[in-house]
Amino acid sequence: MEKLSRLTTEQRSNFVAYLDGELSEEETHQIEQMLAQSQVARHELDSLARTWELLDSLPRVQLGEEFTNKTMASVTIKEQSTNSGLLDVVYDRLQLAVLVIGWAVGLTSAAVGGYYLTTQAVPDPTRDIVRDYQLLKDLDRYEEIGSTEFLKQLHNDPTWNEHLKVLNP
Amino acid sequence: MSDAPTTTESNPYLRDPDVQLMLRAKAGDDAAFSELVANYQSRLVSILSNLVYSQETAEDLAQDVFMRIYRSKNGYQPTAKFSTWMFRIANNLASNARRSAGRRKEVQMAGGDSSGVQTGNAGEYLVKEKSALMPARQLDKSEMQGIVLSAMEGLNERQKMAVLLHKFEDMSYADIAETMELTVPAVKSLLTRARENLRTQLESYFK
Repeated sequence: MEKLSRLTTEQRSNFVAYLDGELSEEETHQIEQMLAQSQVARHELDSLARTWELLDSLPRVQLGEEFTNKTMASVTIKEQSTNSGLLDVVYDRLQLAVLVIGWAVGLTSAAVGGYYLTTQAVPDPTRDIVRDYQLLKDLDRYEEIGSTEFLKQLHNDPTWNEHLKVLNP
Repeated sequence: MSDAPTTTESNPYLRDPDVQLMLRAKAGDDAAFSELVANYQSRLVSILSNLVYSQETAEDLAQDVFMRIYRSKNGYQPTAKFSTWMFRIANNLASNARRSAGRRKEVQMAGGDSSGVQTGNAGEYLVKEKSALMPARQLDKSEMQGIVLSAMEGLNERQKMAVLLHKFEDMSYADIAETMELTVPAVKSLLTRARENLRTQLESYFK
């Protein structure tokens, strides 16, 4: 057992990889040289190989068509129920979207209608005042004059026009 | 899985017949998926039952693995061998099941609940295997099986999975690394330590 401890960790690791056929050509050659020269190495390799062989006795399961059919039934049923669940989710979300859009359209229509009613349909007393402001501003003077005939005569009077020229050269 | 090239020259995985079955399943061919289940069910349950020590739990887990593969078939891209992909899913599910069972055991010890997935131990598993499968004349073999199962129980979960993939599936270190999401040197180290542990436990039986 004393001789066994002379093997390094890497050499031990390489013994396992050698048994598993996982070493490079060069590493394989090194191990084979070691095996040819060392009884300790041969013992090490032999015990690892025998240990591995013992694992052949681990239980293995053999399942038949029944398990295949049961599995297929299970996966396809679950898939269908998942799909139907997905459809339900899509339907629910669609319903919610329609509801939200309906509410949005309703609220917008109410806002536009309300604005129209308040601005157009109901008479606004200030609207006429704003429209006729220029007239109303000089209404007192227009009332003093009385009619437009006098203004026409004044406009055609040359004396009056001369007088205006003097006032506004 | 990410996008992959679609010719066998640029994508070697397309040469894998199981990848071809999976691509047929993706196209809606349930018979191809059924063939995959038939090809892998015994191999998968064998590995899982040696991990969880309960064939019933292993069968449930295997069905869960197939369910996940079936569900993901529409987005499937052949970026690995089918077997490494499937055993990767199995490894993750088995790890989750063991963690859940561990937590449940803690709760049971505190409160006595016994529902859900059960994992056993090597001794219980062997008794069930003996009574169900082993005739009396094979007692010696089954005794040896019990000893090997006990030795396996001494390994940690990752060592056990690596050993089972290598022993049962004859997987290369590279494939084990891909399945267990490890590096190749990490797999080499894992298998070396596992084999050393097993030899320590079993050496006296082959001297």
